[in-house]
Order: sequence, then structure tokens, then C-alpha cells
Amino acid sequence: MSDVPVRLLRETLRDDAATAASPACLDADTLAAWSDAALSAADRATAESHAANCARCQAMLAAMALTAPPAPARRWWRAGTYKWMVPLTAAAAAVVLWSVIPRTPAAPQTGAPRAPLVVTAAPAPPEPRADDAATVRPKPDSTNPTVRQKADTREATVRLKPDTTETERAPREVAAPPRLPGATPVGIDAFALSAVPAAPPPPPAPPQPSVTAQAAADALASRASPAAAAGVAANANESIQLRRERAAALAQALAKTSAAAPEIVSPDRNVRWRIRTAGIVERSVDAGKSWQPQLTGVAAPLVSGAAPSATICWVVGARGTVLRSTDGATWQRVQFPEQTDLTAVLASDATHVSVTATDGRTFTTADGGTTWR
Amino acid sequence: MSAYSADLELARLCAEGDEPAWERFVREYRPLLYRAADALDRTQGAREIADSLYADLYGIGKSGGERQSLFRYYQGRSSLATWLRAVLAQRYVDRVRAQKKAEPLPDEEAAPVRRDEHDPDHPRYVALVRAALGRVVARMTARDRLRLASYYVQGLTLAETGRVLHESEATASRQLARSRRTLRRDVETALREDAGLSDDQIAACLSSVADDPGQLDLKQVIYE
Repeated sequence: MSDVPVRLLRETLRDDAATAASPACLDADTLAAWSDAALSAADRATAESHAANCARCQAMLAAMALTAPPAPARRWWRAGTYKWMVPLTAAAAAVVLWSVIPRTPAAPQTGAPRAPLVVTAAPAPPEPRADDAATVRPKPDSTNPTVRQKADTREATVRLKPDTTETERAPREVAAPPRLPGATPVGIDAFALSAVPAAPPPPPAPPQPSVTAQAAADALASRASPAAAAGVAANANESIQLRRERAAALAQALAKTSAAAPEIVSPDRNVRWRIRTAGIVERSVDAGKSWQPQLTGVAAPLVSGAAPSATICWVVGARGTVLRSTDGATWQRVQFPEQTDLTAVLASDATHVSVTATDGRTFTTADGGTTWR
Repeated sequence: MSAYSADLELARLCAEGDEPAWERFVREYRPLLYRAADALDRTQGAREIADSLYADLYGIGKSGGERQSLFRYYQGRSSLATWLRAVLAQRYVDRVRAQKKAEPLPDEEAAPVRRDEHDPDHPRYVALVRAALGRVVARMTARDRLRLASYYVQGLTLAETGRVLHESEATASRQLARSRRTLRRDVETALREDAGLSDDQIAACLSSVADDPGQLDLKQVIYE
């Protein structure tokens, strides 16, 4: 149980190490190559042999270890970094949704009543696709599946909802495609996984809950000719493919939610900003545990930011919006020569900034925005 | 072709005084340097070293009228970012060492191992163990010695110690535990064979030189 006397060991190690710098000490080039694991085996052995007996080189190696960027491979499983898991969760959700989609028209089933899978969402706008409408909304249905997002917005809730009767059981419904193209980082609430059409949004309509295409096919088949029923069934089969596509879209959308409201982390990792809607920026001084809203005074959507220090932050957005805070609390709009939409910003301090426009052009200033090149 | 040819080209252009290259360098690497400086000194005391690097990198202040940029020492054996960290680390360590030369040793460093007025053999035991440790440590591989020094002398964490030696935190922990076992065994052997101590005397000797309870033992408590 007893171990070596640590204090004596430290003294021994310290005494054995040469304290003075020598020509054999690692130069910056070798030190950097060591750190990047770029030394040959022979060079590395030589360097290790020297460093093992050199206090100065040991200190330099320690300094390199202290300043090394965190290894990404180790971070994903650490507490608080589970955002990385969101795409996986989304993919898993897509697999689950895909697997529960019926591949053939519903056949009479026997045995105990089985609950259909319901993916819930709130609110549940009507199905946007016109080609679905004919088959999807034959009648109001109290068992309308909805898609709901959990409070933490990180994953879709999948729950089983018991049927009222066996005959009313509707096949499983897959969420309609969420808004995908051109989606800007907005609050999670605004990105609810509802069936929002890509464009344009559907006019307000009386509540007309949708049922699944399979139920529609069954309903129409019961009162139409066999030929018509066959056509409807084919239509239903087509909708299966559509649902699979929607499942993929859902996975993509879930992954996108992790990127919503990106944080702008300053070198002091306790201090960070994040962009909200309506020209609001939030700042945290406790590593994101709490946030204080800040008004920027602009209405244009803000897109990206950079914080070269704990008090300096730059944010850019649509229509040539460039904002700067030099005290961490208040914001000033910096003049920009064009009304182009800006997508990214790189800042090294309060005066040296480079912004990128949607068309790929880069604008740089070295005087805080007085002149741009 | 170097894996860091883009970095080499940027360094070459900066050394030649290419303004766009210099602006790009400042834009991309200044935050990195500041982060590294703050990691070395959380009071931002190392930032002035980072700032002073720019003058040398830019090549101002040199005699003879010709720019002598620090960039010319970058040979592309590593990324430019890592090389900059290495230059910063080198300057920081040298500054700290220069400052320490002018300062008295802290109490912990000057403190004796243990003051046990009731153990007349304590000074002899300390000398015996110190000599045995010296011999045993000298026989260890350079890699093992470097690992021990990184952890016990430099005070790095297990993860940081592993980073120095390009091994995982778990491997660093295992290797340190192995080294401690080896040290213990070999010290006991040295005390038995070289100093002629009996098993009871070895136990008394090691007990006498055992560290005082305190922060030094915390690592053992935590990681054993």
C-alpha cells in the first residue's frame, strides 16, 4: 500500500535534471515537431533522452501541453458536450421512423390491439403537399398524429398512443418535412418540428386533421370501384416513399437544431455570446449557465460572430450589418460599404476584422471599420 | 513536399514583408497566440510575450536595414500554429526561469522532508532513500523519467502528461503506476543489498521518510 516518498522523488528528479540551458536544448522547431508528433523515431529518442534530464526542456514541454488545443477525440463523451450526439440521435430517430413505416397496404390483423406509433409535434399544421391532400384528408380524425418537440428540443418524442378501436387504427404517420432550405439559426421554439411548408406557407384553413395515406386508401377503397381502389393503393404506396423522404428530412432538421443559436466563445471560455432573433444578442459570463440579453439596435437577422477577447465581440448579419461591442455590454453598428448579406466574421481584436459575404467575397478592415478593403 | 506547405508559404510571404500575408497571419493566428498565452498565465501576464513576438515575426528593430523575421526559423516540420506555441512556450519558460533566479525558493521547496525529533535515524534514512532513489531513477528509461518529471515536477495532470508523451490519459496513469511500483521495489532492493538493511529496517526507513500528510499525498489518494 505504501508508495514511493513523493517529495523525495520530486527532489531526486529535480536534482538530476540540468537547470541551465544548453545547446542541446530543444529549439522551437523541434519542440513544435515533437508536439505535432512529426519527429522521426531517432529524433524523438534523442529529444526524449535530453528532455528527461533537462529542467528547461521539461518546462517547455509542459508549456506545450498546457497550451495545446483540446483533443476533439476525447471531448465527445464528456459531460456537457452531448450536442455531438444530436446528429446521431436524429439518425437513430430516422431509422426508427423508417422502420415503422408500413410497406404494404394495411392487412386485417388479428390478436391484441396494437398501438400505432405517433410522432407528436405542436402545433400540427396541415399537410403541405397538394398531391397528398387528396388522399390524406378524407375525413376528420381525432387520432391525428402530431409532431411535438420536447422542452429541451434535442430529440423528438416518440410515443405510443393506444387506439380507440381496432378498426379505427390508423397506420403510423411520419412527421411532415420541417422547414429546411435557407433556414437561418433561430430559436428552437421557432424551429418547432411542425409541418411547415418550405414556401409559401399555406393559408389558414379550418382544422382538418390529417390521417395517413394508408387510412385514406382504405377509406376510399371501401366506397369506390376496385379499379379506383387500386389507384388509391398505388397512391398510398407512393406516399410511403414520400414518408421515408420526410423521415430523412426530419433527421436533418433535428441535426440542424443543434446548430441553432450558435455560441460565440471568447478566449475566456466563461464569457460567450449567442445570437437570438430580432437583433438580440445574449451574453454569458458563466460559461453559458445564464444569459443576459443585449439589444443591438438593429432589426436585420444576425448570423455570425467572433469574440477575440472577453469584452470585444463582432457580429455580422443580413444587409451589411456589422456590429461591434468593445465593452462586452453595448453595441455599435459599424459602417459597411455594401448592403450585401454577411455570413461570417473573423476578428483578432477591436480593429482587425474580416467578414465574408454570401457571394464569397471577403472584406477586411484594420481600423475598426473606418475603411474596408 | 511538406505537409505544412501552406503554412510555409505563409511564413515565407510574411518574412518577405508581404502585407496581405501579414494581415492574414495576424487575423488567423493572433487569437491562437492569445489563447496559448492565457493558458500559460491566466492573469494574461503572458500576453505581452505574445505581443512581443509580433515584432520579431514582422522583423522590425533589426540592424543593417534588412528585415530579419523570426519566420525564417520556421522550417515546416510542424504546423505554423504549433511552432508559434513552441516559440511562445520557449520565451515564457525562459522568462519565468529568469525571474525565479532572483526570487527565494518558496517554503515548500526549502522545507525538509520531515522533521521528526523523536527519530534519531531519520536523517540517515533520508540520505539512504535519497541515494537509492537517485540510482533507481537513473536506471529508468528516459521516457519513464520524463513521464515522472512531467507529472511530479511540472505538476501536469495525467491527461497533460499523456499529451507530452503522445499517449492517452489512461496509458499515462498506468505507466506512472508501473513506475512507482518499480521505484518502490528497486528502492527496497537497494536498501537491502547496498545499505544492508533488514526487512524491518527497510519498513522503518520508508515509514520514516514517508511524506507528511498534505497536498503531496492527495494525488496518491486520488489516483491510487
